[in-house]
Amino acid sequence: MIYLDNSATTPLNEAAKEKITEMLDVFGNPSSLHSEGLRAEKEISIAREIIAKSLTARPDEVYFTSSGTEADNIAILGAAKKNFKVGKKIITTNSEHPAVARTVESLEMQGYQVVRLSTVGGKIDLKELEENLSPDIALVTIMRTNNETGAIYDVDAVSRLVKSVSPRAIVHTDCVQAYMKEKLSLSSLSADIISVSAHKVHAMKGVGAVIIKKGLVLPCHTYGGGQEKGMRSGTENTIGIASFGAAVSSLMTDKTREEKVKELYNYTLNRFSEIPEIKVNIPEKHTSSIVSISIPGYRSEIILHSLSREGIFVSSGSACSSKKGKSGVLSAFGIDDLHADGTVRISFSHYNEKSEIDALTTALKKVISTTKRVK
Amino acid sequence: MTRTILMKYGELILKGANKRSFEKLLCDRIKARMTRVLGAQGFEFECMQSTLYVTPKDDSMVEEAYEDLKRIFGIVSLCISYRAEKNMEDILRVSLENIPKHIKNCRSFKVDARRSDKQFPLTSPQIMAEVGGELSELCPEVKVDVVHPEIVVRVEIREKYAYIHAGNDHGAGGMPYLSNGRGLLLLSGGIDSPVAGYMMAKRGVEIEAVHFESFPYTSERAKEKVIALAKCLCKYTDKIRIHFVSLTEIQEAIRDNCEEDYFTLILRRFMMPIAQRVAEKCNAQALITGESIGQVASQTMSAIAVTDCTATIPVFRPCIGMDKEEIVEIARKIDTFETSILPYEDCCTVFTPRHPRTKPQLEKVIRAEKNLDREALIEKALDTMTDMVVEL
Repeated sequence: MIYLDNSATTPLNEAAKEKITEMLDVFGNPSSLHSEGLRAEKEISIAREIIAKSLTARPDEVYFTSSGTEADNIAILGAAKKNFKVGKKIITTNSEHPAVARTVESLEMQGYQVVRLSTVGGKIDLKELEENLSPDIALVTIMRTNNETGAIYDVDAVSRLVKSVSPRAIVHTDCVQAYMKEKLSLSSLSADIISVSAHKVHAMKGVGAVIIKKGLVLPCHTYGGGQEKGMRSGTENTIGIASFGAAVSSLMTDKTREEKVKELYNYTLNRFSEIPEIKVNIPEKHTSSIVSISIPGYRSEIILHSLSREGIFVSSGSACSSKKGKSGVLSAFGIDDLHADGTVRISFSHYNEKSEIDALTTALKKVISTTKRVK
Repeated sequence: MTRTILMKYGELILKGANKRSFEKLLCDRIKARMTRVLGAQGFEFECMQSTLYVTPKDDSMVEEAYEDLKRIFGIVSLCISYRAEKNMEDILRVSLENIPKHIKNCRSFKVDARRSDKQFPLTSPQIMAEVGGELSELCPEVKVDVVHPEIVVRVEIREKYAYIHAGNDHGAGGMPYLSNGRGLLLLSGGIDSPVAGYMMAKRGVEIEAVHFESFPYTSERAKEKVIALAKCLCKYTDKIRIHFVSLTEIQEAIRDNCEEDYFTLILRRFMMPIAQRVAEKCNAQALITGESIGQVASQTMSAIAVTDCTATIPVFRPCIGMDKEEIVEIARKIDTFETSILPYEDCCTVFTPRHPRTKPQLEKVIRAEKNLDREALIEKALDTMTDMVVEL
């Protein structure tokens, strides 16, 4: 199997697997007062410290959730509610992940004014932002790395501009695709809230985290036992959270990761230059872990199925939405329908090898020569 | 408390000398299904005087067994009854213990009694009066109305026991499954074909299915979807064998050699003879399709005429006269709708013509496919055939 769909999800790393095995016997409810409960609570604390460290945050700024999506919901709905006196204006982009886009839409239906900044070529239009600045901006929610194109958005610049006019605006950034791919922190992004997900960094599914700047108290929208300081009631996914900590901890000690992924990226571009049908969609600033290519005239699903049969797994659009039809993200990037229909995303982790890129290149050449163009 | 599910079969009674064999098929199906749900030792089963009795030993399983029995073809009506010994004392005790909860929210009720055992000391009117009187005393707020009661409580004095129940449900109707030959269903992934399969199964026809794939133009998920649809039908048929045949090469050949307007028609002219050969291999006597006249370009009268003539065995199209909404209604009833509308490509949506012919002429279609080696392509497609059995 050649797995090149690491933006959809990642395989567990060894550290996570070991931790999970160890945790199978740690069954206590972290809220229980007895020692079995304490044992579970300790594991969560350890994980919390690791996640905090990875984002240069304080442990008490980290709240575990059930997913990146839930983290985004907590951030966006909480910030809007918190800032209802500031105003009803939201700044976002036109290429957010559905976890953000749909949540913002739900606020729009409640009467919020939403400004969706364009992102042609993977770059936020700051001029457009300047034209829309006003003191009633309650919330900014902009992803750090786009999941389909790999474009890195300048969250810091947007935040600074907005806060210069609406200082109380809360800035949230979905860092699910950026986390552990670059050094991130609330201060470097000028953000108040960051959301991340565990299964994109070689830990278990079913866990995410929202990092909320110390001092910012958001109203919650899940009521219950008051876990995670009331931000996310519900008994914690102890095993998942512990695996999250273990996976991240091991990634933090591996200093060669980023360099390796960068090399893979360059190698891929180099190999793809052999195939004239392929057009690589390169954003101005981008992550090395995602390569988006368009092969106009070939439907991406067909390419995907053919590669899948060869044991090579890539993605057409983003896995979360690829079942639901066309991607708005690609058209926001400026990719026309013909190219969008033939767009495939290859996403690496540091576990991938150059030989896998060779196999992909060979397979793509084969697919292009045998699968006929759609008329 | 012991509860027994009583079932009545309908038109089997009319089958004269063949009644016995139909009855046996039905009994076998019920027993097989109940064995699946309750375990071989988990129920009592009897068939007497055109009534079938299932008594789960574990009373908490009655509702689950009942839901399954509602899907057995050949049963027209069924009910959950309370079983009593054949004496008035026990009949009254069981009635008063169990019936009030069924009638207390109704405006009116009446008690009806039937004795198939004429040895029972009381007459039917006497039983009605006694049970009705006591129930009425216990539930004074519910009126007794013998002309238009909202609910009818029935007391049936049968061979071994008395059964009391308050209201019955429609059964699945139709004829016992396997009582009417075997048909091969062309199962796409859409809404209509599972409904067509259901309708034929309801008439006792054993269903096998053929699904045409078009990898890599269609996905593994499309195949999973077809398996999921077959699984829904298994609630009625217990199991279904699906044959998978790849049409990729045929579709590519059509695309490269034929006029675009005829793509779908020519493809269907391949599907029918391929299906017929699959049918012959699996001893099916007919083909079943989900076609509905006029629904799409390939299902107009002229289009069906052009495709139908490529098969020589009977082709049943039970949805032919139905509106889409009527088909959807059945699809919802049999739980296939939600699966059918999942958005995966099926082979019919690959290379669809922009302007398909709605009034094709046979000679022109034959001319349009003249560059294809039909026989060779059909043989090659059949070589790709694989099959699997989907079970409940």
